[in-house]
Amino acid sequence: MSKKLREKAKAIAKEHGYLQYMIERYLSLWGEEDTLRFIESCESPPRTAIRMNTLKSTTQETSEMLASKGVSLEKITWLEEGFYADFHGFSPGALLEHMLGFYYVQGVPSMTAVAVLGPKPGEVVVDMAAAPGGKTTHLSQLMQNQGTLIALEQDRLRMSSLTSNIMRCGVENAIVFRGDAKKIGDLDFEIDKILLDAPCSGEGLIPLDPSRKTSKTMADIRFCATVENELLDSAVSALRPGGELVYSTCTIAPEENEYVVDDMLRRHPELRVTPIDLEFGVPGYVTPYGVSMHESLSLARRFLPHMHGTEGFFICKLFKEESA
Amino acid sequence: MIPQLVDPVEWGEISESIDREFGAGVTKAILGGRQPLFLVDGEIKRLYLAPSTWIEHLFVDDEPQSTTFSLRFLGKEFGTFSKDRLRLGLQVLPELAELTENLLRVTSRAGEAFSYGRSILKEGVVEIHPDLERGERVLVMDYSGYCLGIASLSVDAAKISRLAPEKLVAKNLADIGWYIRRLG
Repeated sequence: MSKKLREKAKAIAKEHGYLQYMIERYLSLWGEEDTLRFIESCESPPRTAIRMNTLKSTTQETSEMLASKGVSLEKITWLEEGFYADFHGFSPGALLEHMLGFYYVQGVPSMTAVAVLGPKPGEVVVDMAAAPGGKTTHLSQLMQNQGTLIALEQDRLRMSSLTSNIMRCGVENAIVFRGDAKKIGDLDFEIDKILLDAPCSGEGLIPLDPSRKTSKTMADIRFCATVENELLDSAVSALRPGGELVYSTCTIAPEENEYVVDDMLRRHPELRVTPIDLEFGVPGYVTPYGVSMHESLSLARRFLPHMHGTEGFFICKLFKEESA
Repeated sequence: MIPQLVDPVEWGEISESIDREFGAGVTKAILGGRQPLFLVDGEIKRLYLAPSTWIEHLFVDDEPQSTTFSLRFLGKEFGTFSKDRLRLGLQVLPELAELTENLLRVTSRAGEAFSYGRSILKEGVVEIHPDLERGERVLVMDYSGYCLGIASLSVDAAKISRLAPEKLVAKNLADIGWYIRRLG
């Protein structure tokens, strides 16, 4: 990186309250104009979104109930049950319909990751980092409460939110295990599909948590990338041949996204990136910071705050060849 | 927590007790094709209903499979044993509400208050089966027919009409607001 770019990064970082290494990376990835747009977009939170929970009520019924309480809804085009929702000052979690489990307040990228995996009734599906349960309950919804949904979570304190949301949303096909998801291979099930929404550095969450501008170092990102790599490796090994896997994170860092998947493609020749048949986001990067990745990574998708008005997010769908 | 198959005799006693309170055949209807299982955590025993196909993955020769993972929840929570009495789980109440006559219909205002942990007063009662007696458990239903939780009658249903508006009719045992309150 040139001295000039470094000085520019230093000035922008100082002006907007970011750590310099972050701005250096943004300038390298996007250039100055988009970096400034990114910074500006991170100053306001994403729009509130909800997922209608069809395990408990129909979309139409819930929409009508919410409309009668003055909630404005706008359909998210690529998500069948997803809506932007304006509660006009009410807390989205305080309404009776929320307690009844008729809807779930959830980020658009999170709903999208589950829709990309597309679990079917009767399948065996694993959610490797399940708490607080937004994606778990969505998976069950798409499985129509049939088949086996295994939710793994290591954090004891987050267990109560996971089980609470499972019960509230009327999920009846879930088995919740506490433990290290890297041991997924020890499960006595043949796994058809895996969702790995990996614990990450959260660099995509700056619009929701401004403290992220200064709270994580490059060493934190490297540490997260190592954990993500191990989790993904375990997931690929545990998946049955012919099975599908979605790897997602709420970070914009290529080091935790494209780099991790690229490494996995090299180590697992049976693995390939598959196209996502939903229209959202922008393609994954194939030459982040000038480093060449596997070209199929362009089939992955990214949400970016300055382009999509959401938190930053990465979604990659992978297929394990039968011949493995 | 350790999974434990429910002894058929014990399940028979549980079914009999639930049926006696909520109506004949209710427990069998809720069970459907599922298998009752306990998850045991020290003194606490939670009862779950799970698909029979899961048993072979969780047990070997009726003993829990030794696993890297600790089982925390499975299928549908039927209830929790506390002091030898089964406290019904919130998850099973909507299904139970479709099978029993132990229902207490309340006004929207009373329903809202109930979902925030309050009990039901006379002024909030819309309808109740006249044969229900003090101490019996009833499912609290809102104006739209949704089950909000479970309460214990503090007075015979036949005597409710004689009460003053602010008098207690049913004590809140569990309500759907718990899902949210539990998370702080």
